[in-house]
Amino acid sequence: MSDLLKALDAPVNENIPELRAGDDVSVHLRIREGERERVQEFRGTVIRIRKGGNNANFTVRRIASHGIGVERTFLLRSPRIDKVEVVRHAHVRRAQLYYLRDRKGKRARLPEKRG
Amino acid sequence: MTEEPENPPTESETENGQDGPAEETIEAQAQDDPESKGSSEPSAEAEPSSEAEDVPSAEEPVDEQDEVDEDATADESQEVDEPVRIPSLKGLIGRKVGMTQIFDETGAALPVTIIEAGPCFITQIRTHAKDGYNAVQLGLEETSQKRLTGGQLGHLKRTNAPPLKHLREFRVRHLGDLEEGERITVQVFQVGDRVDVVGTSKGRGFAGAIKRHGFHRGPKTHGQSDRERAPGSHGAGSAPGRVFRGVKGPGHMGSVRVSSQNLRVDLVDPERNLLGVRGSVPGPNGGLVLVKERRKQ
Repeated sequence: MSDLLKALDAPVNENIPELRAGDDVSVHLRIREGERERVQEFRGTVIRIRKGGNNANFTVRRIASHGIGVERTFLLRSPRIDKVEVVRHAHVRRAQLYYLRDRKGKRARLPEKRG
Repeated sequence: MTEEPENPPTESETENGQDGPAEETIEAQAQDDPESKGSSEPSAEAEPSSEAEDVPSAEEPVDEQDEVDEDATADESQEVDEPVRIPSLKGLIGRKVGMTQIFDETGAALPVTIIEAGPCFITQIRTHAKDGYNAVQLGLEETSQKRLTGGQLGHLKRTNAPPLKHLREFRVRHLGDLEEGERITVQVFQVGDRVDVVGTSKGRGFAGAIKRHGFHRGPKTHGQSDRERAPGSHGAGSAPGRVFRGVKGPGHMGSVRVSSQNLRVDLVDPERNLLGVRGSVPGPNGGLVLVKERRKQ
């Protein structure tokens, strides 16, 4: 990417730690409802991270009620992200965990990272 | 995610509607930039400059359009710390840098094309009296004297402009107080302005009818051997016995002048001479583009 485009990148959000695929995270998102602003939480597993300056994003997957899988993609540099907490690191062997989409229940678990 | 345009262009607001976006963007910029807060109120230094701008343009035939332009320039001069004269011309030559996303005050991600625009020099002013129409010729990109012909150098020397690679004309309704040799920067635009961007589209070479005109493809099966991307019939047979002019078919595509109209200016960066306009812009990255005030008000 050209240096001129890089110069326009928004500052890195200090409240987002380094994320890895497989991390269980809780994303705190600032939501505007009319005049009021509140923080919404989205908990789940990071299934992919894409780099690219202002376009950098990550996707979080969680299982909502009735076993419905919900995925949400957040822009890493978005000022709307309040903070991200990493709850747990998992031991995974690939960068994109799309295989989790085909699994449910016990088979969709990820082993905790050792050491 | 995208923000509603604050001022959908309608017939009724050709007179007053233009003031709206200009004022709103000043507020927005004041929030972004703490330095400009102090000067956002009409300060003592800014006041004489706006008066000074009024004086020469008062001689102009008074017109609604002209008044709006004066308001815009007066507002701009109050933002800047030192009173800087901002030319009334809303047009620039630039190069497309590429597309990216930027975040606005509300945190919405905006798809923008970044254009490295200007600084341009006014190399000639065409007047109605002399040339039959009003226009401003701008030049972009300094180069070495060796790159230009004697005639080109002589033309530029008239206005004391440096050797410039690209010269383009911008039609204007009123010349205002523009002077030959003046330097035009991205500061003539404000966030919220609507502009047209003109560029040369990417060349596609000799393209088939599907790519060029959106024809449908043929069947892949049922005994079809060579009909997948064929254009089909060009017309009837013995009568008329020829193909009518203008029938769509394969041929050269792209590399033509294309305008993208009514794009919103979302970013003005005077330090780096960058403009950001909402949406896409014709041509490849690095291609020459003209940024003009929108034609359809």
